[in-house]
Amino acid sequence: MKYIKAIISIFFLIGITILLNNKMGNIPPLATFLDPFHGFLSLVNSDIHNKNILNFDEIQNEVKLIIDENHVPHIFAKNDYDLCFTQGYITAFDRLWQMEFQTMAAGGRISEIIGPKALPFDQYQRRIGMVYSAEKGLIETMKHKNVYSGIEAYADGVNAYINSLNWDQYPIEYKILDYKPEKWTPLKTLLFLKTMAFSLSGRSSDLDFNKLWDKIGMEDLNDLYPEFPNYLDPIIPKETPFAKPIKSIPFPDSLYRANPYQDKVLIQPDARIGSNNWAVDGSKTKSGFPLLSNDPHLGLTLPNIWYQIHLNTPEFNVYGASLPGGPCVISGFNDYIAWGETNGGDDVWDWYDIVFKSNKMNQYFYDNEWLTTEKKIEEIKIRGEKSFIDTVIYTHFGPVVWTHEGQTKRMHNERNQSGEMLSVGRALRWLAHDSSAESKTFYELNKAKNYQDYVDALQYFTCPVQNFVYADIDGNIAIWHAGNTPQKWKNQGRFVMDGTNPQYNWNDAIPHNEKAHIKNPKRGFVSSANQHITDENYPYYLGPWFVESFRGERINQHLTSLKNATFDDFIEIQTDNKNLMAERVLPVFLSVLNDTLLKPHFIQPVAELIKWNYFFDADKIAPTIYNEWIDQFENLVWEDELGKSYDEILWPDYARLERLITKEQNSKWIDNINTNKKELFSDLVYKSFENTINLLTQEVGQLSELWFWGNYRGTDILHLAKIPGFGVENLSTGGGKLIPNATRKHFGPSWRYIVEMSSPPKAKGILPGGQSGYPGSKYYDNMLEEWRAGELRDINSSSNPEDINGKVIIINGENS
Amino acid sequence: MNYIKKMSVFVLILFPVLYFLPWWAGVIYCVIIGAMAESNISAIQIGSSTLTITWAIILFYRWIIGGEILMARVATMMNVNNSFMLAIIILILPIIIGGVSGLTGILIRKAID
Repeated sequence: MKYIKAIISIFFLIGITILLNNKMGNIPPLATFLDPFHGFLSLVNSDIHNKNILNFDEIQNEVKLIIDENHVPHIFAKNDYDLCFTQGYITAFDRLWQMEFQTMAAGGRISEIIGPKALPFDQYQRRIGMVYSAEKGLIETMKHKNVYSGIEAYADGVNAYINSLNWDQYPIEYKILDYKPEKWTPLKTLLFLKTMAFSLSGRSSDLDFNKLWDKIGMEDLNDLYPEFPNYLDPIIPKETPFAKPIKSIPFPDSLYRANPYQDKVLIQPDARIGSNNWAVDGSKTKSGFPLLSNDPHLGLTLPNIWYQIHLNTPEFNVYGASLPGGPCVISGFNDYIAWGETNGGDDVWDWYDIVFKSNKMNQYFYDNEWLTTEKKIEEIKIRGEKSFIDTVIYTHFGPVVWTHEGQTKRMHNERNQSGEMLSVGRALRWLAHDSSAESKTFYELNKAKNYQDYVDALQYFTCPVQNFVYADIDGNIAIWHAGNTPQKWKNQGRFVMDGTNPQYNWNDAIPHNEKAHIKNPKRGFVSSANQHITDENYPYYLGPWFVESFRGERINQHLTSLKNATFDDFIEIQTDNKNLMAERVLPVFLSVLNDTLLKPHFIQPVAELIKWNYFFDADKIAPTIYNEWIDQFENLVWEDELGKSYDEILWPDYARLERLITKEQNSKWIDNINTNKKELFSDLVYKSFENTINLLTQEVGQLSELWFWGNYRGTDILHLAKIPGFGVENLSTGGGKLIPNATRKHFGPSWRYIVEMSSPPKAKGILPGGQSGYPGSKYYDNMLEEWRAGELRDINSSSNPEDINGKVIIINGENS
Repeated sequence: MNYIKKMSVFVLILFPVLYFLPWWAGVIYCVIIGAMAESNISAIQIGSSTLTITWAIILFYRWIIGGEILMARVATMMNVNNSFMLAIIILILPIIIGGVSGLTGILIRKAID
């Protein structure tokens, strides 16, 4: 009996030990994670730099690293290698898990971490050629030796940090998800850049436009989705003259009409992802120096997508926001120039229907001949299961995304005109697949000294197409629409294209000097907010739609009237909550209600709207009512003719809706085609208002503080892996879509900065969170409240390390 | 008094063991000290309290020297009300593991005897 007791006890003990030592589903290995010696508590104070001296074999000369009171690193090095090495090291110190996780996501490797539920995501990432794209980028970057050596040095720095860690010191996310960091490589830096390219240029409306062509015909399609909207305040001022292109791009003989119904794009970046930037010249500022502002509107996460850094060598001195994963500053300033980006929005993501000779997909038909495909075997490792093997077919357009059993689209068989059975797939043509070296642009911008350096740097920028705003200490301001958008015939790529016909092939990129740009305009400012780049005068076709120009127009209203501008004026514009669309449509709506007998519970909401000044402030009720009202009205207008929701089919944008409300109240789109009655504009206004009040009452009760915009919408800044408790929820924020302060539920200004190009420059900046990626750090979210309140912190970019207060760390000191 | 002295010695020895080795080294350690106990009950007690006290010392030390924010975030992650509740949950583990280990130790000894 005593043996049996002992054996049972041993097995039981071994059983619970194994159980507590291993991850079960989403639960981390409990004892390993909670063990106060080696678990999450071993990370306490891991954000603090304990050492005053560091030594690395790779570093050639002494480097001075100062961590200031905002936890921003200031790196003073004597050469580029030491600088990039230290940037890699210190970025990994604060953001290792984030930078590695994002590159694993880009490369379709999340199944390795979390198991089979990530397989569709990983397969899609492989199918759209993320790694293929990064590999091509890497080959091109290697041609620029100074840039590539910087990326290598960065990788060396990241690896030096990884190698200095043991299990106890791995960031908490590794402990929760139970895996280890792997060696950093230059390819990972490229993967990271490509994931930004996907976020900013990976949205596709081609299938929607094909469906709409079927549903409403070409005439109505052009009416509802015009290339240029009614209200247009383009980036390059209207009626700016442009040179005619040397060659014209011929239209195909007839427009190919694809079958869009089998397909659904698995992952779509947010439609209104975008940014603001602007610069004014000295004639508009109090100091007489140009002022520049940039706030990129991206997904708001903790840790933040950006990492502030100050880089200094005897050759240059630059400060700004870097991307954790690559060297250099991406949006910032040096002692001579300042720059910042907004998304360009050009259509550089197109689909082609491919006809294969057989379902083996070895050959495909193009220009009257059979071309050979390339096949790439993708092994997707899955945690706890055997690997999934996928074969991705590559054509000269790019990878064939939809063919495979189990993928979002299966290959379907069709008969050609002769009755022969053909196998059809759909290939992706994406500008990010082209050989490019975007890193070269940032490398050159970091060191640029004047306007020509800036223009030269932009020629290397391919994808995603961006609007680079510029200001310098010589008093110049400018904006360039930079990226290698192909020269297209009008509407090329608006629909899925014929992959057999060379007339649909992309042409060469728009020549660099013909990319839309303007320097020192008479109006004294340049600006962009993702709206149309130009008016109809520009000779190149850039894409079927751009973000509505309400936001840009509001910014331009400010900039036009601006005199003696200071930092405070710029902060006021960055945090401006006025919605110009509301200003135009709400009076129309209210005039309809004015003619109607209101129900008693409508009176107070209407009173809120009447006294409203169209500002989406957090402490106002009217924005909540208006926002819901316009959405309800939009539903009633479009759903009957176009389809059920925004996600299933692209609805016309708000600029078109605004035109309908203010100018086309008798339009055929007003009538609900599903009823026998003919609805009038006033019917829809009343019905949508009634729906709004009912919905709000149902959701948040009778009109009260719960209806405040900041309470109703608010902002959630979640952890990158959505780990509960590691994010911040229900922040009371103002702003919204179509508004300069573009703060939304999960998106918004991911970095706000303003710089005055005096000599030396003066600057302020803020992140919606903090510098550290360690959730136990006070620097994890210490800037959040100031960001929410619209405040910016002073930036110290002195080229003299003595001027910077903070913890000083000497790397490879001459005396050490 | 004798019990406290004995346990203090066990804790002092366990501390470096757990500092340098993974958590399950504590399991083996408690099996050994359990084998030295006089009865099943005292084996459970000595295993459980030695491991729990050792964990508690380092847990509260790290909590106090800068772990407040981290404890609060992990408490939310684990869906417990606050850091104090999290500390209790953390310490339940060594209570169970230490107790089972101690009992296993004495049962092995009895089987061998």
